[in-house]
Amino acid sequence: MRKQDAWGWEIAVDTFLGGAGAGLYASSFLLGVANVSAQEFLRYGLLLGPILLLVGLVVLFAELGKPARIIKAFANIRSSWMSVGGVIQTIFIICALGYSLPMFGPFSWLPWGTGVFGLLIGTVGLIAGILVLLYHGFLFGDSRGVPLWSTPILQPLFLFVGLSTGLAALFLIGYGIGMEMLTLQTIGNITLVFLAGEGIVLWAFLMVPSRMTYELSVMELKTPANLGIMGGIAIILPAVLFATISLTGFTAPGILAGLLILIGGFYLRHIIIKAGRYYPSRINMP
Amino acid sequence: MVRWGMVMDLRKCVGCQTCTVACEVENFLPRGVLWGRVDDYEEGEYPNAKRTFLPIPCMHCEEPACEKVCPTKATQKREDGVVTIDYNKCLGCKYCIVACPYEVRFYLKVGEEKIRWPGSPLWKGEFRSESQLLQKGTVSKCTFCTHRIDKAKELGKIPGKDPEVTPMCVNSCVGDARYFGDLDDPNSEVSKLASSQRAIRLHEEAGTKPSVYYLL
Repeated sequence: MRKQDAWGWEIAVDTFLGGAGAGLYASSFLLGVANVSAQEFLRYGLLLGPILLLVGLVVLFAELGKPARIIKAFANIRSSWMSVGGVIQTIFIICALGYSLPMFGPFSWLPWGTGVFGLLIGTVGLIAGILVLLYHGFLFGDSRGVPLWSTPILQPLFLFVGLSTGLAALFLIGYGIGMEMLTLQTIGNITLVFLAGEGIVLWAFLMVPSRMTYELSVMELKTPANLGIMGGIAIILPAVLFATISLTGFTAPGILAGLLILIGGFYLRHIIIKAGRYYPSRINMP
Repeated sequence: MVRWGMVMDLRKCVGCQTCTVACEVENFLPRGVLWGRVDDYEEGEYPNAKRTFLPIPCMHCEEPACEKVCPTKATQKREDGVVTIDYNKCLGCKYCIVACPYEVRFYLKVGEEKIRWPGSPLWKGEFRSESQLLQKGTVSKCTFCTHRIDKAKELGKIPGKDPEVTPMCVNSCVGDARYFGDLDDPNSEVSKLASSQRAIRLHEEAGTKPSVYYLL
């Protein structure tokens, strides 16, 4: 039951930045639709989302054995999640940048602007962003050689982690540029909901019994240190801090909460990749 | 239609690793890359302990997980069931390595000079087409020695019976534990052995339908 060593930290960085970027864009877009007055602040989230995903892809390119052949990665969209993901991420980057760039002075000349057509582009970007969040789970789910990853639970887990890290990033951006307290409180409250979802799915992921290699990997995930980081530092402590903001209206603790969610979101992906073990090749002779 | 497959009698395998070495030599594999390996493990406790040798090549599955996930279609299943990699298309993403339930794919980290050294047949491209030559930064695996079995028609010989057109691991097996042939031919030795009650396949639960069978 050898540990997998094919995929390493580069995949963790790529999926973390991709998830956080898509989550940041999706949350900024939806908050902007609900509260148009906050658009002035949210535009930074809309722009940073696709940029984060792009940075993740650059890290991924560095990990490829033949990065110059990247264009060939779109060749198998009928069956490979990696190809499907390539298409989804491309659409997301184009649409998210297309929607957000006209909101900034130097790009206000772009012909579609922020009108109806711009909103349409942004909506396509939102759909693509949500698909990016789901895609990471499907990507790992097809890894039949590593039972820990070959589970449908990773799809909702990565969805929740992506959304919570995206919201955490949005909170930090908002705090940094002086977003009004009410909007920050709203972001904190929504993050609380996703943190709760993340906690429930993470619990299910660690508790559902399965094959032996899965259990060995899960045992590694369930060491006190890992549980402390994934559950305590990344979910419970930020939830308490955001609840404090909700109750008191004092937003400063949100900085720590946001940072902890981001660190925890990366650590969760990193440790899931690191704990993966190959199928044991054994035959019991009669 | 031909469908190449292999049967291994685990009662005959002595774990000598001759097949492993023969494969390395035949395919000019760099150090650390084992397209075929023989796992060696113990079961039970003294005085009822048993030692088992389990040879594991690529299973050339009917429904290969590696082919499904390959984003560039570098991994393809041929009409005769052999799963191959086109090294000119491989991206080196290693998705196939984590998708394969048999741990038989290898990422080539070493430079070309370690794979195709001057004077070697691979350097001159004598035995392989360009797309079959190993490249740094790509994933490689057992080919069922396609460079040998593909010569069968031309030479008028039968893979599994005539050594010149049979995979090297089968030729080299000192215990005569390996059988190779057409699984779709009901009269072939491999298809008879594969349908015997002693025959099993590794990780049936993965749903990949391997073309390699083990006799218990």
